[in-house]
Formats: sequence, C-alpha cells, structure tokens
Amino acid sequence: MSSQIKRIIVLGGGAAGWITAGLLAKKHAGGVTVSLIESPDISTVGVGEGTWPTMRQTLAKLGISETTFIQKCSATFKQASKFVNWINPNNDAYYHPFSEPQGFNKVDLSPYWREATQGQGTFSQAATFQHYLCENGLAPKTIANKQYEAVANYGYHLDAGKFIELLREHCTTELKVELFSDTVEHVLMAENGDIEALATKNNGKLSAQLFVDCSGMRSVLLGKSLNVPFVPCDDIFFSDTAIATQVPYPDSDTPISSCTISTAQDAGWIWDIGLQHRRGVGYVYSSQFSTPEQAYDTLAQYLGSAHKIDKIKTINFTPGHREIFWKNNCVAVGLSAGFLEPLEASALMLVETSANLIAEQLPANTQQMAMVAKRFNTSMLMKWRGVIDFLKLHYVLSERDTPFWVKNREPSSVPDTLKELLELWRFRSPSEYDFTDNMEAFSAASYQYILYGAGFKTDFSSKAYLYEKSALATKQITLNRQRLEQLKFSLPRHRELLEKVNQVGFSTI
Amino acid sequence: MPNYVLLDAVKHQKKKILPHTNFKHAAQQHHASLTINEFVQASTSFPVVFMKDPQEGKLHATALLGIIAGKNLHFTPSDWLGTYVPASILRAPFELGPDLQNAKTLTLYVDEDSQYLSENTGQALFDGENQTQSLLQVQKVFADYFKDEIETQKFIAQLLDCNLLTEIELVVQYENSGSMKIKGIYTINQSTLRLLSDALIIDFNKKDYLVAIHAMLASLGQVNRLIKLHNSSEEQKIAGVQMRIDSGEE
Repeated sequence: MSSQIKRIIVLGGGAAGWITAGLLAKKHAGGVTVSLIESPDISTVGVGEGTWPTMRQTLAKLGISETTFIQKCSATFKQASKFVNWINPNNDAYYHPFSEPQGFNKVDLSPYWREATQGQGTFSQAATFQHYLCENGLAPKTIANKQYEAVANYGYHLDAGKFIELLREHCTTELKVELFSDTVEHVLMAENGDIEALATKNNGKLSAQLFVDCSGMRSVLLGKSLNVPFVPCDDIFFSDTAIATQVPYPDSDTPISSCTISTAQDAGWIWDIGLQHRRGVGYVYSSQFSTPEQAYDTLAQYLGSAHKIDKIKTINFTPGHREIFWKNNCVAVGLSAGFLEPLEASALMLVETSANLIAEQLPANTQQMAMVAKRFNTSMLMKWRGVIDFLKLHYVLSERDTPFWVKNREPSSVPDTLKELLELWRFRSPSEYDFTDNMEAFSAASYQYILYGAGFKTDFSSKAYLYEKSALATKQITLNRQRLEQLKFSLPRHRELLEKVNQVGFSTI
Repeated sequence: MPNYVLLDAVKHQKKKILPHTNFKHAAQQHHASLTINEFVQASTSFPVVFMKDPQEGKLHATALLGIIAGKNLHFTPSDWLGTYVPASILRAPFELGPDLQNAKTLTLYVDEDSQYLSENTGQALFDGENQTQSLLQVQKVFADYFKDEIETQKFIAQLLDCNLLTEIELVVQYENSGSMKIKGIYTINQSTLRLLSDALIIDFNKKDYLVAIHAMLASLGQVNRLIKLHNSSEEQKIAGVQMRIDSGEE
C-alpha cells in the first residue's frame, strides 16, 4: 500500500539536523510537515567550523541573509586551506584555494606554469590571485558587493554552536519546522522493516513517512534500529582522536586569517581557524602513534608559551561510513552517515549535499521510496569514495618520516582508485574527465592544487605534441597577475570587512 | 588635487570667488552626485543611475559623465557638452566637512588651490569679521543641498524597501573586438515597478518619486549619447554597448 509523504521527522538538533530540516521545509512547504526532535540532554559535537563555498548557496536557499549569518555566527570568510609542513617538517607550505585556476575552462595551466613563471613561485600563485589574498590577509570581496556575491570564491569559518542557534531560530520561525524538545525512548518498527514511529518521553508516539537520522555518531535510527553496518576506513586513515581548544586574539586588531591553516605534526595535524572573536585550534592525531600527553604537548607547543590552554575538548572517532545511507524509510545525514576526519572540511559539505539531494528527489509516495533510496545510495557512495581519495592524496604526497606518516604511505593503505589516478597523473595532469560523475566531491582543479602544490612532477614530455598552448597559458598567468594588481588596492583587509559587515551589512542588490 | 581647508574669516579675509567658467575641476570625474530634485533635468543630458560607494557600500544617486574611469566626456576647454550641470559640480571651490568644534555638524571648507579663488577680482567672502551676501548665499545653497541629499537617501531607502532596484551590467564592445564589463550600476526594476500597489503609486506620485523613477528609466538611453561623445574623443572607438539587467539571486 502506498501513501503520500505527509510528514518527515528529523532526529537530532545539530547542524546536520537543522540544515536538512530547513532545506526540506523550504522546498516542500506546500505539502509536507517537517518536524525535528531535539534532545535536551544530548550535546552537539560542535566541531566542523569550516565550510565550503557551497554554504553560500545553502544559506541563500534557506533565506538567511549573509549579514545576519556573519553577525550571529561570528563567521569569517574562508578562501583556502593552507598546508604547512605536510611535505617535510622544514617549513614548506602550499595552498588549496577555492577559486579555480585562471582560465580553467580554456586551458590547463599545469603543463606550462613552471616554464611560464621561470621557476618563480608556486602553482597556486601562478594560477590564482587568491594565494596572495590569503598570504596578505585580504578579504574575498568588498562591502559594496551584494550578499553572497564573491570577487574571489569563498566559504566560511563559523562558530558551530551559534550557527545551530541561528538555524534553529530561522527554521522554526520562518520555515515553520515543528520543534519537539524531547527524548526518544524507543523506536517502533513496522513489519516490513520501516520505522513506524518514535516513542518519545513527553509527546508520545510521533509517526512519519520518512525519518532523517541526524543523531550524530550514535546513528540511532539507521545504525541501531535498521542495523546498517558501519564500514570503517581505519585501514586508510589513522587519526582517531581530536583535541580542540579556543584561543583568544591578543588584540582587537590582530589580523584574522582568511584560510584554514593545517600544520602537519608527528602523529597527525593541527587545524587553526580564525573566527571574529577567537581562534579555534585542534590537533587530530592517531592514538597508535601518540599518547594523550604527547598530543597535549604538541598542541601546547604549537600555541606557544604565551597561551595557557584552559579548556580542552576530546573527541574520539573511528573513520568510516555506513554501508548504505538510506534504507527503507530512513536516511542518515551528518555524523550518523559517517565521518572520516576534519581535513578539507568535508563534513558540512556532505550534509549540504545529502540534504539537497533528499529535498530535490523526495519520493512522491512510499512506493517510490526504494528507487529513490537506491539512487541516493549510489550517488552518496560515489561522493564518499571521492572524499576518501582526495583526503588520502594529502597524506600520500608527504615525505615526512615519523611512523604515522610512513604508515600513511604504505601501499596497502591507499585505495586502488587513488593508486590508479596517481599512476595516470605521472604522465598527464588531473583532468575533468577523471571526475565525470557530477556527484564527484572534488574537482580536477582541487586535485591540481594539491598535487602540484605538494611538488608532484608529471612528465609531460612523452606526449609533448599535446601541449602547444603555451601562449594561451602564459596569457592566463599574465591576466591573473593583472587582476591581482587591481585587487591589491580594491579589496579591504579581512578584519576590516568583517567590522563593516557588523556595522552596515551587505545589501541584497 | 584639491586642497580643502576649513573656511576661516582671518585666513580667507582677502579671498574672492570667481564665476565658473569651463568646469575644469571636473575634467577627470566620470560621474557626479545628484539629488532627487535634479533627476528630471539631469536626465536630459546623462544616464541617471545609482552607484555604491566603496567604503560603506551605500547607494548614491549619480550622473554618468563618461564611460571610462577618469574621463569626463562633457568637459572640453571651451564648452560643457551638456544642457545641465549637476549641482555637486557647481559646489566648487566649496565643500562640506566636519565642524571640529561641534561634533556631528558640518561646516564649509574651501579648496585653497581652486582656480575659482582669487585675491584680485571676484566676490569677496568676508567684510572684516562679517560674512558677505555672496558667502551667505553659498551657505544657503549648501544647506538646501544637504536637505536634498537626505531626501534622496529616503527615496533610495524606499526603493530598496519595495524591491524596486536592480543591477545593470554594461558590456562595452570596442571596434577592435576587445570588450569591457562595467558593473556596479543600479537602476529601477521595471517588472517590480509594474506590480507596485495602487496605494504606493499614489504615495510615490505625491512625493515626486514617480517622476524621478521615470526620469531614471528614460535616461538610460543617454548611454548612446555617451558613446557618441566617447567616439569623438581620441580614445579607442566603441562599436556598441549592451545593457544586461541582473536577473537576481538564485
């Protein structure tokens, strides 16, 4: 028997829950009630303070003004990830900027940039002015740009706790998401394996046609009730612990970094994220290769003697994801679907992608559910596979020699899909045709930034006849330089723009 | 570069004001501020649009005097090539600036390097300690202008409120096949204007907003006049300009 989707229940009031509930409510306001159950007793993880540029579309879709978002979430503009000491411990650094290489659709710069720049500078410097913007603390836009409009592509750094508050407020008042502050005591299953209802402490049985599991790592519905197995990736990624702390700025005019700074350490790496009022810093490491005391010392050393760590939060995790993400009438979004590690801030991106996909492809009735679920699983598995390969690439390119890094390069730890790509890239650069699936997480541009940023050498000589666009490539590199000369003077400093956003805000036109 | 200093009875005792001749001080200005009550007259010569200032991102009413930055196509050494001169250009050699004695008050400044300032001929500014009739007249003009600017800001706020503004992008096509995009110009959104409620139409009419709106829309045709003026200068010739209306977010 088929029935229409009249009600969707989202379990969990973290960022994943509210983003999913919001996007569903916005799209299906006409015919579906979206309810969210938030437990008053369970705290959210509250990490995941970096976003992709996709967050701009997500916020715009939800109808949140960029000014409100920046003011309420202490948000800042993120233009890149900067990888420090990833190749060797001697102060090397490279960027993965959000802006594509100049003229990316016209010509691939990778075979030409070394010659065109005569060995001066790095791939990202030749390819995009954004490298300079990050190095010099400039903002990706001006106050005269309208909201969500970019001069240089950007995402955000945000205060996760405040972000959840803003989403809760917006979703309940503007988007009419029905909120239950309640605890689920048990899950009632139907004979066909569907979830029939959630039995709550104060609101009795709450039933729906579709349940979205945003319950975090506990994966209450998909994992526990529907028994979908967890596929660990701890044979690929070795980090399993994160310690996080908050660091105040020494002065109210200390420059705010406009990129996530990721600095490699002996048994993992340290993230450093600049918000408006403080930095968020944490060490994600492998407990096989570091004791908690050593990890603490590593973090303390990174922060320097001037900063005393007063509060520290520890998060333990097993990298991996569920075998499938949608089973029967239950779909998992966020940590309940899986988590690999914080590198490249893929967690919120996966939430946005899943939520958009569910909202766009919501089955018309319960009979359609299995087909939609199958397609969703295929797409999302592809997405996870892409994220796994891309994150692993960062480790494979390292030349660091502590046991953690050596283990990360062991061939048995590298997925075959990535091995194959690396072999192909010995003789040609990453191309869009390597990533033909439109659900691919990272583009060829991202792979190029990492590969050539890390110093990977592709031997283009065996197919030299393919590379006769040197004039066009040089033109793009010159265009990029010219654009930079203009932007140096027109773009404000990152902190200065944030202050203006707090005073006057962006206009909507 | 102008050199504005606080107008002072002692310091400027001997200064006299000369009448405007060829507006050379605006030769490098490719746009000029307007107030709402100038829109109709300005629209007979220039495109009347809104532009944002880069410091605050606030919208201001503007007459486009040229196409490329730094070149006022209406200036020639012998003649002003328009039927109207914006009041903001007529302000020279004076300007409003902060009064250092009273916070939040504006007072007159004078450009000491201005070609319109002399010690020999012209209208005196001071007669001993007293201000002359000419200076009092200047002060009145500035006081009125200040009020008009506030009215203009109210107008813009109402347009924003009613979602009546849209960005236009000018794509300048040069004869040698190169092209240039000009962004950051805003005008009336005709499709939302058509949907404006009857009550607001009446309200707008009473406030003289309707006439200003129509003057702005009609004035967009003056872009063609700018191209004509541009092509008669030594600059690279323009084959045409395409106007693209912003389709909005999402």
